[in-house]
Amino acid sequence: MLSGCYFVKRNIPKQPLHPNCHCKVKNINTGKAKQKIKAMCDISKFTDYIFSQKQLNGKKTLFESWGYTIHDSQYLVTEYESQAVQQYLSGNYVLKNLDKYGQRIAIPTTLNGHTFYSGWMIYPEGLIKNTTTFGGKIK
Amino acid sequence: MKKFDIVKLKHITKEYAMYGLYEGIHGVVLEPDSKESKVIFISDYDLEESTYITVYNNHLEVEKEKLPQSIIEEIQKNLKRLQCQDNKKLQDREFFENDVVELIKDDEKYKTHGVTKGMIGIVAYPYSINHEYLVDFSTVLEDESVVGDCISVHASDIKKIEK
Repeated sequence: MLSGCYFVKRNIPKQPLHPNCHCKVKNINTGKAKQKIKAMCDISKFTDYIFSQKQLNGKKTLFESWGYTIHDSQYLVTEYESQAVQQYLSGNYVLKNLDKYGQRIAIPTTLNGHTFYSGWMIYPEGLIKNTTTFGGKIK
Repeated sequence: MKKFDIVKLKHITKEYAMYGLYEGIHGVVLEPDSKESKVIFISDYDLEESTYITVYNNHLEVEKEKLPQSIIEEIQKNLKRLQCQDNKKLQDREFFENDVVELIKDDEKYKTHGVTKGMIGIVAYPYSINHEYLVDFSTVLEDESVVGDCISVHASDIKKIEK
C-alpha cells in the first residue's frame, strides 16, 4: 500500500512492512520530489465539522479560544497545507499507524503560537491529505 | 477481447444495473469469448468489492493500459476467490470522505482506542475496504487533552450526521 509514496530517507517506515514483503526503497531526485509534493486539507473539515454549531467534539471551543471562527476556514486550510508541505519535505514528521489504508504521519503545526500535531495520510506521488486537524499539543 | 484486458463498461443495461454496475466502471476480462466475456468488475470506492459478470463485448471498451505481470500473477493466484463473486451485487456506497458520522455501537475493538458509542467523527479516507471506513474520532477535552483516535469502523456501526 506504500507503492509510490515518498519519505525522507532518515524517516522511513521500518521494513519489512508486512508479511511476505518484497517492497524496495527507490531513491528519487529531491528537486523532483519538491515539485510534486502537495498537501490537501478539505475546507469542510472546518466549515462542517470543527466550526459546526453542534459542538461536536471540543475542537470548536479550542479553535475559538485561539481566536478563530468559521470565517477563518480558508486561511486555516492554507496554513495547514503550507506548513505540512514544509515539514514533510524537511522530514519533520512522526510515523504513526501503518495499516490497510496506508501510512499516517503526525506533523507539527503552529497556529497563533500554539503548536500541536495534525494527522496526515501519505498517498503516492508526493500527495499528503489531512486526516486529523488536532491530534494533541506538543509540550 | 483478450484475457486480462482492462475494460471499461460503456453501455449500461437494466440487467447490469441490477448488479450495481454503472457506466464507466472498470474491470478485467477473465473469460473472453466471441460475443460475451466474463469480467471481474472492481468497485471505484471499496477496495475489496468486486463482481464477476458476463457482459456483451460491444458494451465494453478496451483500455490502452495493460496489467503489470505481477498483478496478472496475483489474479491467477486468487482466480477461484474472484470467480466466487459470480453475479454478486455491488453494494451502494454508504459514506464519503469528510462525512460527519456518529458511532452508534460500542465494541471492544473501538474501546481500546478510546472510542465509544455516541462519539462524533469525520470520514478520513476516500475509499472503504470491505465496508470499513477510516474515521477520525479524536475529541478534545476541557484541559485540551485528546481522547479517541483515527480508526477503522464498519459501515453498520456509524450513521451520518446531517449538517
